[in-house]
Amino acid sequence: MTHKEPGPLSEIDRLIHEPARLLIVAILSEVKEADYLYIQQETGLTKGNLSSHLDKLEKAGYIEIEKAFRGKIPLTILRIARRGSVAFKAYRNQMGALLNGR
Amino acid sequence: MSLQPRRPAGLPVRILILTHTSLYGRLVCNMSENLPDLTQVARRPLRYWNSDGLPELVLGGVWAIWVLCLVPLEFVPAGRWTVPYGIALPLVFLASALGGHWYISRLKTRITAPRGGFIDYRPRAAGAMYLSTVLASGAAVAVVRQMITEPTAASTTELTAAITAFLLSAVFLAMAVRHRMPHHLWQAAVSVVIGLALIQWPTDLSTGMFRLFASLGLVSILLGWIRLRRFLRRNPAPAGGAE
Repeated sequence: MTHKEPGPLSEIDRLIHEPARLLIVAILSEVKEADYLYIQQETGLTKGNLSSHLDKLEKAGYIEIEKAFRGKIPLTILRIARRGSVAFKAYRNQMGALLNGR
Repeated sequence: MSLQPRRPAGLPVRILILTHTSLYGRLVCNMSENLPDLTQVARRPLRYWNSDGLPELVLGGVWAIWVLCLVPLEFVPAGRWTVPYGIALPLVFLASALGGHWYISRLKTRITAPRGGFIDYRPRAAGAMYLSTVLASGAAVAVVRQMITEPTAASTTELTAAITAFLLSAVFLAMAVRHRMPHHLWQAAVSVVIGLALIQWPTDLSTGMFRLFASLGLVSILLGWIRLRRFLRRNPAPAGGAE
């Protein structure tokens, strides 16, 4: 007997669903912008790992990455893009529907 | 008792694996009820503001300024200076509160950002900002007016300082719960104790406020100092600058 998957599962955005990226997007969705160091400390990811996730999110148009300077200190500023906001909201609704059976 | 998460009816095992990986389960999901708890994750940035003890330290400083402003009302006999002083006092209160907020931001840029990262919050809605400014101004004017016009002890003015203490306690309690920062419970507890003391040993309004802000200022500075030292110890200055 084959098991039939429920409809909402196929619609889940796998890019956001990955736990580390979900954490990054969830945090960025609540702030105007945050820097690389803050996101790294909150997620506990290594620099290489975090950069890889940020790269994927940026390529999908979910976040914007800006290189800047504060005095002489280089900063990587991250902010969620409009597309990322919409995708995150949709993801929350889909997961809510899936887990709560709504 | 099983530690395994309950399997919701109708969900195949592969979905459970998908949604309950360890990091996801720990940070995002409420494992006991299988509900996504992204709200808690989204609240993490709120804790940034209170992570280093700087707000408590500066708030203590602001309250120390308020106490200094109340010293003349407390120790100098009332005279012709009282009314203009009473008009200027709410302005000083508001200016010091706004200046305190600005100063915390400056300190965070210098102390917190290089060690713990940097966040810029979304600006609050203009309506909410105007409303809170009007309410704070109104409260400051009303309290100072009471201090100036009714310097002697009376039942209503006796209670104002105690009620202020209880309101502040409720604010600290809400912050402790909402931001999950239990150190605010200390400030809430001290506010309650001061409020009860002001009911037990009633004084006129300016004396009550003087004692309230002096006690809370002292506790805030102490708490802020301890938390800042702990933050600096846990987050040493980076050697090569930020990413």
